[in-house]
Amino acid sequence: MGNRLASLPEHVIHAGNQMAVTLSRLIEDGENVFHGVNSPLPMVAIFLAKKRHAPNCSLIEVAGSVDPKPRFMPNSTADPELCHGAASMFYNPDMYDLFARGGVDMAFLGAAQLDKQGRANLSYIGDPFHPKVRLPGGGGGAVIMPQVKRTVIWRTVHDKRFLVPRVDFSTQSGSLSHVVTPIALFEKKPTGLEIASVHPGHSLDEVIEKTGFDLKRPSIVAQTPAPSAEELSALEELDPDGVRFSEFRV
Amino acid sequence: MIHVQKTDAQGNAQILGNQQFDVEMTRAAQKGVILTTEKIVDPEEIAAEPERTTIPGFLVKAVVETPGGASPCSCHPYYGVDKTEMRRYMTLTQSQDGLREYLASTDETHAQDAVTK
Repeated sequence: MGNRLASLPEHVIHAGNQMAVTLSRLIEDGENVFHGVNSPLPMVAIFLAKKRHAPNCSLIEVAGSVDPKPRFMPNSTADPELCHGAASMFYNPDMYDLFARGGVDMAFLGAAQLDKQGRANLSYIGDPFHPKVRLPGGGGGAVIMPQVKRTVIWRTVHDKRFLVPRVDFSTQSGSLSHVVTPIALFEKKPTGLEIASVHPGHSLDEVIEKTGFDLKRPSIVAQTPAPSAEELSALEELDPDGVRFSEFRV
Repeated sequence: MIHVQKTDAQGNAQILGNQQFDVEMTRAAQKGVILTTEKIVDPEEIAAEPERTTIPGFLVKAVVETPGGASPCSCHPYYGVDKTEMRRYMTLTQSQDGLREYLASTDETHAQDAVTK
């Protein structure tokens, strides 16, 4: 399908695999979990969680289904294949209603900019009347993020343009619990985002240097556990075409 | 509590015929839903036609197989309204004693053990 990047030396962990397993491990068994459109990594991560440590979690698809059994991992996370073999249908009006009733445990959302306080920008960069970049908008995020129990934000680029001291516009906020990037896992504390662990092959200095807001330097730096052999083989089985790599620039 | 034509043991349910507000009520039930059903079927049978499965299992707390459970009301296409029984119910339940007589006379033989999720 053309998602596969040039093959890496065996000892190098692809950030797509590290991110998929790191996202997956944040899901607890029995939870109601949601991912939206344009979210290949969370989609693969949720299927991985269901296959391994969280078989009883319910995957609520933006495509309008619950717990589908797709015959292949689709590139688009709103693909009708995500209704195939579903345990039930649950269309978007019902889904938003469920968010409003506090019935969703976890949502995966994206952001172009994110600040230490967990405000996410998906609206514009620069002057609101003459924006440098007009972003796609938050979709349902502004409704989802304050109402879901926990939000996890992921982005496949970790730089100072993403992790900023203050967002140009706060499209959505509330309930942020973790942020996963190619080099680190952040946790939202009452004081703001802090480093929870640094992925294998990366250093604390690199994370601090590439982050645009101030970070407490932890006395002991935890390392994110690398993907296990079992996790990697489960990923290959679930996603042989490498949809999880599709968010990385080739 | 909602009566449906069929569901799997996890409560992924298909409600057919006239649904009134039953689907909406499953969403609104704060403490969850108890399903009574004509038939508990294999999950594969439910998953074969997802577009008919409008009640997701994650909203459901328990499933009870109770054929005839909607009677004397209707459950399409299994049975219609039992007008004679309905008239008996309406007459008897005018008084407390009548209600007791009605409850004592109803057929409980269909009640099955609840399927604990």
